[in-house]
This record gives sequence, structure tokens and C-alpha cells, in this order.
Amino acid sequence: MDKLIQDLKEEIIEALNLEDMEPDDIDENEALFGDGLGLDSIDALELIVLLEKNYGIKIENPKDGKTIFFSVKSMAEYIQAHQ
Amino acid sequence: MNKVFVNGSYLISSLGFGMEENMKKLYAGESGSCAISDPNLYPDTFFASKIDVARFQAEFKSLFPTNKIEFPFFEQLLLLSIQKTLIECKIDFQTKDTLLILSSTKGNINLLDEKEKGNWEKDRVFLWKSAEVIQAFFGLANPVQVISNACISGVEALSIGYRMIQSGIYKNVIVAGADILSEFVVSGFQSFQSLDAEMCKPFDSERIGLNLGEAVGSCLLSELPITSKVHIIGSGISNDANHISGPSRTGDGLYLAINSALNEAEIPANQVDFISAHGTATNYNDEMESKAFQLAGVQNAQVNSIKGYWGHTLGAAGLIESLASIEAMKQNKSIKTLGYSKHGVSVDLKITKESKSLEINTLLKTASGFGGANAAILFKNEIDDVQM
Amino acid sequence: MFKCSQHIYLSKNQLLVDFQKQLEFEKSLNYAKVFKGIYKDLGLDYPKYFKMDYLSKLGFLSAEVILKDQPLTSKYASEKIGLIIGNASSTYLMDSKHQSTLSDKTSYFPSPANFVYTLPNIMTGEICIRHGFKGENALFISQKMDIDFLWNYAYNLFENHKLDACLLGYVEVKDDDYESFLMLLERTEKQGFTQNNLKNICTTYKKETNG
Repeated sequence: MDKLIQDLKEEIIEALNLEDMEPDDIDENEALFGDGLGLDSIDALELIVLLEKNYGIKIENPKDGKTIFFSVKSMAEYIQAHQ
Repeated sequence: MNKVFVNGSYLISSLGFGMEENMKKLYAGESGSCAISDPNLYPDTFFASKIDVARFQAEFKSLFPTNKIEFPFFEQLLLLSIQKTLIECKIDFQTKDTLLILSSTKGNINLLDEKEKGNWEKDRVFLWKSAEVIQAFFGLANPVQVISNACISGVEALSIGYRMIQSGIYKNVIVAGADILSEFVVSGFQSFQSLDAEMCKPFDSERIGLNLGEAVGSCLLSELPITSKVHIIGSGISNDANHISGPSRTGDGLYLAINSALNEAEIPANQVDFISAHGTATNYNDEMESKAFQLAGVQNAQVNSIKGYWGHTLGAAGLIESLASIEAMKQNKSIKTLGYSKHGVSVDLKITKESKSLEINTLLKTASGFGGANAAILFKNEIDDVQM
Repeated sequence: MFKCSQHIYLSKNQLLVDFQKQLEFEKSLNYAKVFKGIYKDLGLDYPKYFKMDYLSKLGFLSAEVILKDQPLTSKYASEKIGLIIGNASSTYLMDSKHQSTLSDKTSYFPSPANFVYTLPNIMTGEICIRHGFKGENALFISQKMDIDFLWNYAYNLFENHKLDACLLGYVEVKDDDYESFLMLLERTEKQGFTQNNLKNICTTYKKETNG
């Protein structure tokens, strides 16, 4: 799980062009959207692509994204449950 | 201030060729969209609107029988449409007082594809190059202007043409707009998860996304009523200044564009009889539009979206939807919103459910798009005070 | 009708403001580094900047240079502030990038964050978001800046009271080259800024940066 969380942080920084951010700057429990990392709707779509490309997980209903992408931890849990 | 009339309308869509055929199918509620399985456009099946290419090529050959030069499809569409407009209007278009404005989002973008790039020069993918080719083909005296402002390009091209004639710099402005279906565009919208896998449902509670389409349209804006008494009475462009891909939740951006057009036309909001909305059938767009119409006070007008018939044709959309709506206004008819059955936006708009006789004197066309851009333009059907 | 309050020119690793050189970078530096240098020099903290394509970055930075000391929304209604921008190659770099994700059907992952930047008016949209401009905005494509047309269009929008202020110019990024010319026009009662003034400014900049 820890390895997955670390990988995810790196992948998110790269995919979303979070310039000048290190994996350690992201708290895995912190909200990715809204007040947390301040991601927006395009980032959400990009995260959907990331899950499919890197983990082969397809999210059919974009509305599910809200819970899956709440935090890095929730993403990791979703990946573990669906791989 | 000069009046600016909309003459010589022509368009090609998935519904067919020319105003008459398109209008007939629009009134009949016939859609040109269907499921497409073409690996050159997208790996999976998707729902969209395509022009009948074989028929188009025959039409092109018969209109330009002596032409030996080859053109990419996007340019061919524009050449044919512009030629039809010029034939109908019979103006001397090679003079210094005639301008051509093109509207397109992606032009010859299909030429970036290995399979389609052929022997075209590298620059051919650029819109300025297409503009240059078209200027040379018709022997136009002025450089062709290209407006590329996402999905509002078509309405904005009309707005710019209107201003250029108003200011007295040009007597005639040909406005032509086109975009074609390409893997580039289909895959992009697919990645945005904004496509409906079936027929789109504008303003409906079950709407889930848009259908893409390809089309071309053209008309001649002129200070003279050559083929039509319909003229532009005001226009406005605005920006949401909110987000690059999501429309403003409040509709305040589009409201500003509508308000700007109404102020210029010096008419009260309740004088608008009919609105041809952008109505893409995405969740956010339609909701945003309904709020904007209410803010602008035009919510009592009849509203339709034409997207269910020929899809979202991007840079052509605002233009061909204006031209079809003008034609309907001239014939005092309304076009129903195909795909709409159960009201699905928060404002109680009067969405047209059937095509019927309806007196329309003032028509509002709106468009909104990526980049936060919004456009509104007002047309009036002058019945009494213009001598043809 | 309107005056030109300030103009800037950014090309060949030099940033000039009202003809005065403000910043200069080594000739060999690529524009990714140059843009980053300008971003740092301006002391910006705008995370969204890093998500932009190079066309948006160039437009954004150019606008920032002009507007950092004079927020226009405190002087004019936001709906009366606009943008009239020319460009040649549209979003060619991003177009190629998006197209390249489509060639392998077994690994077919077009990126939405990339696709949104395949429209040239996203650049004007980014400037509107940053500075709260809600007025008329237009993005014209032409191989070279069409000074006459852009000026005429601006004149008409001021005359019709659609605009009280706007940024007018030309922002272009292609392969390894870039050029940005931007000016701030503001309404004035006096005999204002003419088409010839605009032509002279453009010519002077071209000469100075080529010399």
C-alpha cells in the first residue's frame, strides 16, 4: 500500500504538471480537490486516464470519480480493490 | 449607421445540401446523426453527424467542372459553399470593398494524421494557409480573415462582419465557417467524456453529452438586401473569466454577451421572439444557458437547440444554426428541439417541442465554448420598411 | 478614441517594454527556460501557469508584464475590458502532441489536459481568468500580424462602446521560435492612437530585436 501511495503521488505530479512539488508535499489523506491540492475538473479527467493507462482500471461513470479521487489514499484503496 | 443584411445563405450538413433540403428535414424532425464505426475516426463506435462525401465530391465536380487543382476536404467544403453564396448574390466580389471571414476551430487538422497527410505541404495544416489558398482561388482583393475562437467562432464571424460593414470599411462581407470530423477531434471530446453514445438530448433531464458533427455554411453580409430582408441589429461577445473548459455556473458570462447585443439593438429583452440556443446537451452548458437567459430577461421567448439534427459542428455551428434559424424566421416557422422530452434545466424555458407556424420577428442566436467565450447576435426580419 | 498606455515585445530572448530592454536571456537558451525566467522575475505564484501550453504561457506572461502594476478592473467595468489577438500557428505544438497519442491503438490514451490546449483562444481565456476580463475577445489567425485589420476592429469596438480598454497584439509560438507583441489600449477623449502609430511601434521593435 505504501509503495502504491508513493507511486501514485509521483504519477499525479507528473500527469498534472504540479510544478515544484515533491511526493512528500502531498498528504495522502488530504483532499485532492477543493481546498486541498486545488485540482479542477480537467485534472479529474486526467486522473481517470491515469487510472486506465497505468492500472488498467476503467471508470465508466465519471460521477464515481468524486469518491475515488477524494485523496491519494482513496485512490490507492480503489486500485487495490479493483486490480 | 448602415443596416447589415444576411444574404445568400448556403449550408451542407449531414442532413443534406443547400437551405431547402436542410430546412425540409429540420421541419420534419429528421436527424442526420447516427452510430459510426470507422477506425479512421475512432477505435470504438461513436454517435455523430457526417456529410455524404461521395455526393459532395460529385457536387464539387459539377460546380467546378474545369478545376484541376486538388484541395483537402475542409477547403473543398468552403470553396463550394462560398461559390453557391456568390452565385446567388451576383456581386462583384473581387473588389477592395469585399472581405471574406472564415470561422473554424481546427481547419485541415486531419492532415496531421499519418494516414491522411498525403503529399500536402507541411503548412497546409495551418488555417492561414487555407485562407491564402481560398483567397487565391476566388481572386479576392483583401487578405482573408480567420476567426478561431472555439465554439463561438461562427457567431463571432457574423458579429465581426457586421461591425466591418457598419464601420463603412467594407460593403460586403462573405462569412463562411467549417469544421470536419477527424480522429483528432473525436478522440479529444471522448477523452473529455463529453460525448453521448446515442442521440444527444438538449435541455432534457436525461442529457449526458453532445454529438459531434461536420458542416459548412456561408452567407453574404451586405448593406443591401440582395436576397433577404433579415438584418443584424446587435451582437456581443464576452468571456466568463472563470475556467478554460467548464462554463460559468451562474450564466453571467453569456448574460453579458446577450445584454451587450440587446443594448446595441436598443430593444427590450421581451421583444426577443425566438432563441436558437447553443444547446450542446452537456450537463453544464444547457444549465448555464438557461440561467443566462433568465438573467438577460429573455426566458419567455421560444427556445430551441438544433444540435440533435446535425450534431455540434464546432466552428460552423454558430453560423449554420443562425442561417437555418433565419430561414425559419422568414417562413414564420419554428424548428423543434430534437432529443428533448423531459425538462432538465432549472429555469422554466419554453423549449420548442414541435415544429409549427410561429410569428418570429426578432431572433437571438447564442453560442458558448471552451476558453470561457460566449457570443450573442440578434436578427430582425424587416417586413415593412425595406424596399427590395 | 483610445491611447496606447504601454506596449511590450518579447522575442529572441529579449523582453522590451516601451522600447526599453527589461530582461535579456542568453541566445542559446530555449524558450521553456526563458519563459520560466520571466515567470520568476515577475515573482509570480500562479500554479495554473504550469499546466498551460507554451502559447498560453507566452500570452499570459506578456499580459502579466503590462498589467502587474495596473489592475484594469479597478478602473473599468470588467465587461468593457477585452482582448484582440492575432496568431499564426494556432496550437501546433499541442496539436502534434495530441495526434501522437492516437497512433498506437493498443495504447490509446489521449489526454484531456492536452486536448483543451489545442484551441488558440484558451490563451486569451487564461488571460481573462487571471485579470477578470469579461469583454469582447477575438482570436484571429494570420501568417503575419494584420495591423490594419486588428486596429480597425479595435476602433469599431471602442466606437460602439463595447470596450473601454483592451490588450491588442500578436502572440505566436512555433517549433523553436516565438514572438509576442502586446499593447494596452485605453479609452481617451483626445485624438488618440492611430493605425500609423501602431505600424511604427511594430517596425521599431522588429528592427531593435534583429539588430
